[in-house]
Amino acid sequence: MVPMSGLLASAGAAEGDELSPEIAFLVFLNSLEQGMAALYATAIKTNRFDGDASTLAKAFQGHHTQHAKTLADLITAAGATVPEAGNAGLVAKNNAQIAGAADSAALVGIFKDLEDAMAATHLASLKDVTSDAITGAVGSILPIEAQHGLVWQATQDPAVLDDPAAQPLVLSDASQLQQSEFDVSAPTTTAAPTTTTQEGAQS
Amino acid sequence: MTNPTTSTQNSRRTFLALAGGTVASAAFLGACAAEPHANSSGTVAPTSVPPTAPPVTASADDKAADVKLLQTAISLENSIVAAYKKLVADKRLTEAKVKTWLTKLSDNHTAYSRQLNAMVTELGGDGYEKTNPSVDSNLVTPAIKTAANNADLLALAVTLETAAFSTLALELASLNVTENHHGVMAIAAAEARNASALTLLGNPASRLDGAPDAFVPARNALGADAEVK
Repeated sequence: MVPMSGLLASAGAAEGDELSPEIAFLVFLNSLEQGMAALYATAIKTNRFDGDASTLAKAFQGHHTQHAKTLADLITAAGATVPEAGNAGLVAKNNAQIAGAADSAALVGIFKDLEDAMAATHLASLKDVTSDAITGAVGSILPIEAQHGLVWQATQDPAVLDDPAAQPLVLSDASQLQQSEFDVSAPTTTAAPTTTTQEGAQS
Repeated sequence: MTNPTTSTQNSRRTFLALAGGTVASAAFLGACAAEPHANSSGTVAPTSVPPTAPPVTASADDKAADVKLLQTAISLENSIVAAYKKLVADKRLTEAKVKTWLTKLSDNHTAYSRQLNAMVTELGGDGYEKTNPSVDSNLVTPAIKTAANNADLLALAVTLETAAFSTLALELASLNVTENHHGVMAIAAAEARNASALTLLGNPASRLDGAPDAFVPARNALGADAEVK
């Protein structure tokens, strides 16, 4: 058994060192997971999720929090710094959409797209990541976020369950979130979205 | 007998145990699923996250271990294809929509088997065309024999889809040829979605049944007893 102190010594990334691409991607993934948890929290606070959707949103928020924790433990073990908050770009872009969502269906649509993008991002990471520890974590997280996407899709449009041919044969990473667009080092914004009433948004 | 893979394998388990309980148990069962799959060269399985990823060159033994893992996964895919053909023909399966799904998924799993076999061939191994005897005799046959109705047969399909994606996902960290990780997980993620879809078909009134656990469930991945010889 390898003691924790041994792991840290062998990881050896000192404060201020430039991160390896693998660790940098791990930090990116962690920032996205934290961002997803924050976005769910914001959406739940709007009280616009209906029935099952509200329960699902709370469950999926918890999953993303757990995914962030798992990735944070790996970052810490590598001697790197865990982001203090969710990805600023992801949160800012989607807070605006959440604020403009008129109803539960609109929120479900936003999170369906986000979950699909998250699954695609985890999948895309596997083209470059070789560390067993990271691929092990991603392997345990990716299918769950793919399932989140399917559940939101079926919530948005139950007719998808009528047509299995509409589901992908294999998951694509085409909708992955790009590090270049969602820079993990960007300043974090914690501002809540502008509250819009359902009536106001619909008018 | 001294097993040259034991040290590396144990180190891998130890590290993942530090990453979180669920991942740890998942990784542990994944490692148990087929013992020989641990990195036999001892050069590419880090005991921690490396500050810089080393170039990965899989040895012949590493590739052989991957072949065994992939063949086991292929055998499961083949068992699912055979099971779905039985279910579709079963008079107790009364819902046309479920039959449509299982017919389509049977085609999908045939494609997955072919894709995984292509990886095996690329690694220098032999293609695997058989079903998994353990899955057939311990899971499929008794479930079909005791099924009372449509719901029971659909539940078997959900279990098989879950076993498929869990097995692939838990094997991922152990494949020595990292170029195959993306292809394997692209399949696993699609199978995970299908597991949720089938679950929702069983209870269309509620979306809650399709919600997964926070991490891939280790409980439904194939165990060591299901490894192909």
